[in-house]
Amino acid sequence: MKVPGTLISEYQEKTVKMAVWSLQIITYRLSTKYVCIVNNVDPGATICRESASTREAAQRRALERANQYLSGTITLDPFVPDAIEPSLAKIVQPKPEPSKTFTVAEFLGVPLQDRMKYILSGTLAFVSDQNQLIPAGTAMKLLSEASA
Amino acid sequence: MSKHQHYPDVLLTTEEAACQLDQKTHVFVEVDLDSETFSQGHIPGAFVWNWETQLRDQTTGDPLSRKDFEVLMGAAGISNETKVVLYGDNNNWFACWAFWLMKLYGHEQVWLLDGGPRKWLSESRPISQKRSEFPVPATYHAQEPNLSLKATTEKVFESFFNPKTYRLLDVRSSAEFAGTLRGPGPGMDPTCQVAGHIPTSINIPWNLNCNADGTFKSPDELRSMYASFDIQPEMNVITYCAIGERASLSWFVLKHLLGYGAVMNYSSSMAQWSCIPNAPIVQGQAA
Repeated sequence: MKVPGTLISEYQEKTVKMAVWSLQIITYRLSTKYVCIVNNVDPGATICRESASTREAAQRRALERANQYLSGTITLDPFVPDAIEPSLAKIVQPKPEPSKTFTVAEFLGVPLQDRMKYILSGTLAFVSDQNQLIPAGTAMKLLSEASA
Repeated sequence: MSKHQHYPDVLLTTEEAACQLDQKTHVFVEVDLDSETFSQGHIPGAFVWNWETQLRDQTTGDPLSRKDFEVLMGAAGISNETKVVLYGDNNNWFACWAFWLMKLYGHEQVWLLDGGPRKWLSESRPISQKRSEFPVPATYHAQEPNLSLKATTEKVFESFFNPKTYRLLDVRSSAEFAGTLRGPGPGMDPTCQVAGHIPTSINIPWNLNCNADGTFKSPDELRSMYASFDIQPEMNVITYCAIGERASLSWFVLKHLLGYGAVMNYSSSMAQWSCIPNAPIVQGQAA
């Protein structure tokens, strides 16, 4: 027994550039209309879909709508890390008083739950051997390396 | 009709799916973020689940509770013995979440449609715009959630301090990983409060698991790719993305296509992590 349904036809895929973005355009015919789907190539999310009586009209509508969404895309400047990777020397918790200072080895000896609490408390300062503050994300990577 | 060449237990080819559809042996469920997708054409006889409103807690973003999952399955006419085929938009991202959810609650007979709707359409197979017949409700008994499949924030912290035995995989695009985009690519709304990635994570975008037509790569190709990132079968692997759906896809690959033992989906992903006060986040590419 064959399941009822409408066979699609004239399936086409192509990639186009809109501003700086690569878009995948899928069009096909479904009965008397054409459907157009616009996906971003990376990572592959569907931005919009439209239909019309001709392929060109469906694609035009879909690209107009995609353009609206794309124009609202906010890109942030790429972060350029320091050329020199800092070396983590100590971890200081100035508050609540009295302040605490841990060496890396001492901190790794604290139970995991407490380490997590310390980190999420936002009161830790990660300090390099050059006495410079290290961002928490970088410090976590250095702690991880020290754990190995 | 031959079984899936590489993964017969968890994937159906479009050819197999078409055959099962004719024989009505499986329930087909389309899982979408955008319900418009389903109304514009779906596999005949399929039902639809909306990921945002039906497959997760609306307040916390967590997967459905056991009770809500039982209601969902029962309402779709799915009993514990029903064979379910999942597929959906964005190359099965949200279908993979549904697959993970079903495994979390112990459903046995579930497959993904390899290549998803794109492959189905490209082969000019039939689709329908009619609403499927309302299913006869079924009784469904979910098992206790298998928490070994779900990573918590604590597990992520554990991974920081056990780098030899844990791997943390960010499966988003390189732009999201580096922090130049806060949403899943251009044209999409931001999903993270803070740009960047979780420290110590490795960026292996989800689409590296797939061929150009959206089907999954062969076991040899996948094994070789993960080995090249020093991700070994005996390791604890945590996958994450922005909202957990792409992470479900990479979780599916590692757990069910490659058979790695301890693979967890951090389903709350960056949407949650970036909202935790003081949770460390890194911008820029990993060294």
